[in-house]
Amino acid sequence: MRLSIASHPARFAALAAVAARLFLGLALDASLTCNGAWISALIGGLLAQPWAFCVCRFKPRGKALPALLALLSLLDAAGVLSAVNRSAGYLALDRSPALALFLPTGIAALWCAWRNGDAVGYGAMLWVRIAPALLLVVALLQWPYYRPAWLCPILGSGWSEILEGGVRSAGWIASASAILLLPEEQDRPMASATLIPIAAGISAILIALQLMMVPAPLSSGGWLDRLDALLCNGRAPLYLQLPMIAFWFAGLFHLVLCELFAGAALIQRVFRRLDGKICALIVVAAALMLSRLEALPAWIDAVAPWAYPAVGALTAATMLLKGGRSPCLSEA
Amino acid sequence: MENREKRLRSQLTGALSKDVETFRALLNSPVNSDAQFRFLRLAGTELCVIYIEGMADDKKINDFVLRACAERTLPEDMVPDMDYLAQNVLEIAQCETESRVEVILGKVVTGMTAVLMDGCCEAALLETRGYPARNVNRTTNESVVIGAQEGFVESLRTNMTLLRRYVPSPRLITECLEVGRAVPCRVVLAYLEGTAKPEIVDAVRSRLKGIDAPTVQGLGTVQQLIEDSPWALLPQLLETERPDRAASCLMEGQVAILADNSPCALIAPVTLFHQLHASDDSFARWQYGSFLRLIRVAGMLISVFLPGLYIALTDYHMHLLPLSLIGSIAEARANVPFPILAEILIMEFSFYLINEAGTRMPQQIGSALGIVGALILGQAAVSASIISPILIIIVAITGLGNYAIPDYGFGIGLVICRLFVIALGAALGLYGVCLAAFVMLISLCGMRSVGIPYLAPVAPRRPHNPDLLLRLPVWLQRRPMFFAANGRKASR
Amino acid sequence: MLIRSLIALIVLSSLTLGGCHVSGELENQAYVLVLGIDRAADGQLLLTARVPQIGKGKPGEESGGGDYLAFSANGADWPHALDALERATPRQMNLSHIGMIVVSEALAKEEGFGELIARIAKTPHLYTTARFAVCAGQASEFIGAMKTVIGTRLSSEISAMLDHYVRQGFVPDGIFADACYLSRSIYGDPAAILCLLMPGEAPAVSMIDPIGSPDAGIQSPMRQRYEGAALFRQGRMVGTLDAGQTRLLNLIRGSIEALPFECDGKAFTLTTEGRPHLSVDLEDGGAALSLRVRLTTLDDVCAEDARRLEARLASSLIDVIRECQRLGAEPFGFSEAAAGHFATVPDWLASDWREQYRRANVTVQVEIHSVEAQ
Repeated sequence: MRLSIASHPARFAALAAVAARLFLGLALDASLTCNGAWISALIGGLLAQPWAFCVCRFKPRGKALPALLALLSLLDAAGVLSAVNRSAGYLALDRSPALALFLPTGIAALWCAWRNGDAVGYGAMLWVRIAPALLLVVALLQWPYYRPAWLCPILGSGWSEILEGGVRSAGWIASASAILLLPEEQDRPMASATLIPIAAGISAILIALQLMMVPAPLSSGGWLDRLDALLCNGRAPLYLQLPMIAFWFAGLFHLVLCELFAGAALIQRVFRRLDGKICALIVVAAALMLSRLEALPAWIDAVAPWAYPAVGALTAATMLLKGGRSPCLSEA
Repeated sequence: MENREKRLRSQLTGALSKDVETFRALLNSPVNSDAQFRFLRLAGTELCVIYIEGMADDKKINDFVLRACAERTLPEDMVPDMDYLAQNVLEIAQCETESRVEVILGKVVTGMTAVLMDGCCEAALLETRGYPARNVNRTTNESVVIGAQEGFVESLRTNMTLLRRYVPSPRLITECLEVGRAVPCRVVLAYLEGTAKPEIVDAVRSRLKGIDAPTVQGLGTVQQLIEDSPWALLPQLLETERPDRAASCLMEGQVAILADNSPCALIAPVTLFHQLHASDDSFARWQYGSFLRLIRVAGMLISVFLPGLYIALTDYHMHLLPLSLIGSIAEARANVPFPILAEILIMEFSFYLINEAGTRMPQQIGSALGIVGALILGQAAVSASIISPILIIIVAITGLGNYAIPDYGFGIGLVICRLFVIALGAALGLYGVCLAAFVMLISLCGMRSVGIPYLAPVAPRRPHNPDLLLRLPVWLQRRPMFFAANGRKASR
Repeated sequence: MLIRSLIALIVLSSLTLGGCHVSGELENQAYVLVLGIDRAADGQLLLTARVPQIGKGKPGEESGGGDYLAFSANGADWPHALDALERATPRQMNLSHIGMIVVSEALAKEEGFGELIARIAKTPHLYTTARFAVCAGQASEFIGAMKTVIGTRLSSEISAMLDHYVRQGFVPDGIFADACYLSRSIYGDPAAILCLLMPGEAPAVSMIDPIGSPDAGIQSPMRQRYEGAALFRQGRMVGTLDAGQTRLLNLIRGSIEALPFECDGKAFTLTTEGRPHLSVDLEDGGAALSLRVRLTTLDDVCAEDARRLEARLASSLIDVIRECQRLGAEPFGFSEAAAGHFATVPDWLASDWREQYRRANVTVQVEIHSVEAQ
């Protein structure tokens, strides 16, 4: 089985994944940016846009870039799996064994990846349409509890932290949008590249809404504090959680599926003789094992600032040394 | 057996006694008592009329074959041949000549009559089918409030006639095919030329021709043999017993498959949205149609998710329920001996049992089912503290949601999906319900119907009529569906 | 295929029926409706929980008032006290439907109370949108003496009562999550509901005291009183406001729409015209707080009376703000307005806003329009 995806569904998969990854990274994982997290998302989107255009338009040759992106996607997917696990545990399953929480998502992701790329992309396409409606419901329910004043001071911890957040964001974008490298024929490269700032914009809105629920110093507190503010709405009644829970889990599932599928498909590009189902199995198993490591958050944190410079440099080097191929020609 | 195969592949010899002997052997006469061989003479030439009693109309044979031959006087010097017989003697509208034994036998067993003539290497095949068939009647499973009420019957010819009545166009093509190696079954592929995409017609035709099963018992088997994902829970072809709906689908560019002895039509390709459409929609004004469709969508979601959500919320996420509701549920459950999962499974299976029993039970004792149903799903179960009242409400609403779905097969598929959601909801709470929803969504996204994505035209986006979940006014429905051939709708 | 189906069945059965999942039936839970927190005599934390007796009535009947139990337990700190309370409760304790968290005044004034609030808020599945109240005496006594005087449904027994008082303006809205968030944030301080238990069994006289009017002399069969606000500074209680001052506090916060007010022996009902406008001027090194309130009245007020009414109300508002400034508490929202003057959080923290707030000049502008006069 060859893991593949057409460019149109790939665009939507990348859109859903990038928006979710930036939100997860900036609103929950990274505490350094504080109030300025939404600006970091926008900066990350602008930084990653030229890379996305380059990848979609010229299709860099060689195996080094797919290999690096596969590794980044794998690491990121493991982090997202870990977030799924912690979210499920926080909600109600705090006494369930970790394996019972990891495995269902892993198995579901594997099963979905075996449906191949178009199913993944169409799923994202549908999610991209459902999500705004769900978000509208969430926002309307929480409207009385938003405090716009809590977005100030507008730059949060300061410019240097915001810029660092932007570079990290660009790295997350690269791993979440690795799926853009997969389509054999790219019909509208500019549209694919434009979706990166759009996804960053969506993510910035989500982060801003979240910041209006949590006052600034708290937003730089612990991961669980921020998850609590996200899922329990902090100051809003608990029964308003249901749409938010659905929104959160659906976003995470799409992200993890997109990254695992991209990782598996890129591994297949590197090792061409491997069957797609085997690749997906390897990637899911590796992500499940990685996500159980205690050191994983530290690894992700350490990799984040360097991911985009590394991907950008490798893309540039590949283009210079090996060149790209026409976007409308399929590789034999 | 080899001898039989050899005879079957042979051609008529012209020696009447030998040819009749061939047919006697193939039809196992006289063991098969309904295979009739009637000898007669026409101007000195011996003829044999072969037909199956009951399948062929005796009156037609008596009036237009036997009497015609007996009363016809020929010039003395004339030796009649098959062409003369067909053109001047036999007074039946449809008459063709055929020399292959296999073909003649195939037609005879379906009710046609073969006339063999001594000295002639061809037989005349006469359309004398006259087996008993049900009259066109109201539909049983696809009832509508307004609109046409008649449904397909078991007779293929009647069904084709019904279809032609609703689509009186010369562009309606009805291709007749036979499927099944050992026992052939007549199948008709109907489509509107110029409206249906040739690629789709070709795909359906090749799938029908590719059926390599010894027997095909009606459209149910055909459906299983030609659908894209036989392992999927939901059907990828639409089964309708309404000729008006089949006609409407043909006009949208879809293809209909009819089969002998199947009182329904299969429609291909279809999407998830077609499964939620009913015939009333197009009869009703657009506001009513849209509203009813929204009700059906809500019914579908309730049918799949409500019991799973109930168990997830009551077992894991009490904080999402208002305390007053918790109080009511807890008070009601205080004396119930089962955990919520067991309670819900008991009720679900009781409901399925009543449902299935209601379908199979003889009509004379049908009223007993109401009593049993009321006992299980009613006050008696509550009084016995076996079931809590709120669960009865949940199961009842779920059942109603399921009944709101127009397609029977689709409804059963959703019931199985519901069990999947219940299992994950019971094991993992809302996380499980979300996961189940996600897996089902991706499964739907991966499904195809004759190569058409099952969730199109939404995912992927395709040009379409504004007639999916909501039905916009008819005058705004100008675009053909994405699976139709380019151009304006055929009906215009 | 058969083997695959069997494996799937076994996995599913083991997941759902084998008990590897952890769930609790909802009728086997003890739902804590009110949680009291005290400092016991031996220095330990004393927790008191008020739990309804679900299942006592006939199936299908609503639980009326009166069927409640109170459990208490001591512990060295919050986790230990909670653990002890769990042991004292004969069912799995469920904190997800708490209506009110009552803390004794003595505990609220302790040094590390802010950390305790944060610790409480981190308790899994604790309903942080509960009302937060400070009790003048012991919270355990306050809870022990609670009676439902009007037979309401379980869910609304506490919330309906407090919603009523909040609507009237006698108490602040006092959401526990706000108290927790604001105690640790830079955007001002929380205000909690102030409550007390009147001594004796005799019907008590209300302390509710509209501005400028003597005691209204209301009598009630309840011994609990909910009147006034407990003020906090950086997570620690520093003072109180009485019922009249609390109404003005709520007016400034924009959480009430009508304010009965008395001036020169005449009673007026004022209604707000939009939210009050709070602004902060930080240009001259010091801070200047400005408040603009627009109100209307249905009463027939001449221009001269209106000016007198404005002056009186402005003066009352300034008094409330000054009282809070004196205590160092900022429950109004001036901090949120001040935050907009800074680009970054470090700048904001470096400006020593709290000290500037304490020393800030206050300007209050009240505009009252009479509908009759228009």
